[in-house]
Amino acid sequence: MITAEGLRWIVTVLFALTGAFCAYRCLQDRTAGERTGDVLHVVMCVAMVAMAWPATMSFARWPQTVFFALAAVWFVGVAVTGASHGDHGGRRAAFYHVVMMAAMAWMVFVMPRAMAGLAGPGGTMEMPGHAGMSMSVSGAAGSTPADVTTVALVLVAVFAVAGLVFLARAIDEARVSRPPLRSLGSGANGVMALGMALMLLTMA
Amino acid sequence: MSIDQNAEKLTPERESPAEPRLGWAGIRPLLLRLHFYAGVFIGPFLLVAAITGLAYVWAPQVEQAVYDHELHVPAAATTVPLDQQAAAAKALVPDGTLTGVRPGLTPTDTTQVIFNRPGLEPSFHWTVFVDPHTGDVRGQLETYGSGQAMPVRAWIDVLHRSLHLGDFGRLYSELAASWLWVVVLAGLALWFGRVRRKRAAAGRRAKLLTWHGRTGLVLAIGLLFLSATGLTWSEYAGNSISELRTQLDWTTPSVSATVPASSGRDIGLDGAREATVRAGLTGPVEVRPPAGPGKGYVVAQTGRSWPTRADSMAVDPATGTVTDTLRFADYNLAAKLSKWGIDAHMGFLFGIWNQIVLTLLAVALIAVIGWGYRMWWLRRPTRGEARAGRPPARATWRKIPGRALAPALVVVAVVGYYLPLFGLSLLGFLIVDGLLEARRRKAAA
Repeated sequence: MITAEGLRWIVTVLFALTGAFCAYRCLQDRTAGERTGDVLHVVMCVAMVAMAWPATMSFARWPQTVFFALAAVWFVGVAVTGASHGDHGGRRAAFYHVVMMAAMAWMVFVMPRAMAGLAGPGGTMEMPGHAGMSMSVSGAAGSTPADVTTVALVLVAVFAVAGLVFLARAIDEARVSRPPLRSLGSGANGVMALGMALMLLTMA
Repeated sequence: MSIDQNAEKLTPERESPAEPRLGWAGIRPLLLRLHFYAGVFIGPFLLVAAITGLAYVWAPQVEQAVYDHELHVPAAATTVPLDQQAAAAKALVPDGTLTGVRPGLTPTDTTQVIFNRPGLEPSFHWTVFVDPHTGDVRGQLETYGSGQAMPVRAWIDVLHRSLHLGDFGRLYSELAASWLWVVVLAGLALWFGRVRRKRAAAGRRAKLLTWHGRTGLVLAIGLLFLSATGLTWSEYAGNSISELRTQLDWTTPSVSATVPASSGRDIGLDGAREATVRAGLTGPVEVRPPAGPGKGYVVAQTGRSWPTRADSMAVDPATGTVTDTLRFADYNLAAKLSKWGIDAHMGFLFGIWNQIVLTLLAVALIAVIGWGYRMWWLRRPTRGEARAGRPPARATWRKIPGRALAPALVVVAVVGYYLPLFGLSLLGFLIVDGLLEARRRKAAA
């Protein structure tokens, strides 16, 4: 769950857009394997949006955990067999998607523990010397379990790097030619990875 | 701080090589475009901020003259107790709640008795000025902020901050502060890039560019300081900064006014002040009465010049014991920097020299903005229908490799989140720019 409302909306819009893009790509002329990958991405985007909001952050926790664990297994299969992975990239990208789906399963599973200590008391901060400078501040974060923090921070680093790599690829692809679906696909992967990093950072 | 004269040579149609190399040639067009559009966009806001800021810098001297009767009295040997002065003031403000008393620092200063009163705007107070030697009331005025600004200074302050347009008006100063550092940093990079290439100035526009760049170089540190401190006051970015300070435990501490249950005895304003004087709290102070049962007097230093004197003490109203002391020296670094930054931005920290430096900054900024617009004007075509100088070309991002642009985009997104007006205005610009480019391509096809 993301406590800052503005950030929550940003994450919602980003994952709604990337989810819509994956759904659109799924409807194009593609193989069954590629379509499966797209569907898994769409479900992941929906889950990320749900996870960002307090009311739905722990919705269907166990089914989601199992689903994303199975999705990770699917991408293991893709990576091992070298099956068509379409615009998602090659075998290396498939391994990345294994990590992504496994991270999703982990996030959904530990979310209640991670969020347990978040609600803290609010207060005000006086800014000396000038009127209109008394500001309300939200409650401070409570303590998150150390194991959750450690795993989350490692995953933040992984997804931040992955997001930058995908974004860089999207930029370079958009520069040299205009295959919208391909460069948009890299861009969507980048946005999803950075969105994951952001969500994990709020859990850490 | 330069808009290079060759900007017009960059055309949107020119595609960069498939593998652009990271270097000055790739980055410069983007910086040029950023500096140009951001400068043109916030120039008017910065002009208003500079002019109103200039007026504010010298407002303390103006208010000393305009409100001489309220602020000053003939010196005398005798002094009326603070409680008696407060009672005289209270008689004139029956609907007011006493929030503080500021004894005069010298024998020629009046005592300021400060009230909260129904109907006052937030941060405004009602202040009664009392002759400390006779107890006579010299006048009463609406004052503003913790600096006790008199009406003239308060009016200029609100003008500088919000143009008297309420929260909507605060957007102008936040936009200016949010973009100023971007314009300055891009301008610095362009200037150093130009110097590195040892480009000689020739022609009227080139000379203006030299003036624009050199003056901007000298101003840079001051402008970055004004931008940073201005942002702490802003509505949205200010909230972000406050949140960040809270999360990092960098908030400004406050003295604890909680005291043991009292017996009903009250030492009064004079007793509280004397207790703190004995404890070493001297200089200009504000004595605040207990906020309620179980609370004590708070006596806080109100000095704003260097060395900063912002200690405060809580005093038990029953016993006169100092129950808590908060020294400015014990503030965390962020709180100290915040206090110093605010006082320097307002021209109080280093007295007259602070005011002179701010004045020079404001005047030079006005000149730099004027030269910037003038250069744009000189670049306008003298034939055809175009009435303004051609802006730097689009698609400058194509000259920068993805491995450099991607992290930069992420940094911009993070900054845009914490400085929302910067982020939203940039996003709006990119959308409009993209639409215009799409329309141009469609028309060209």
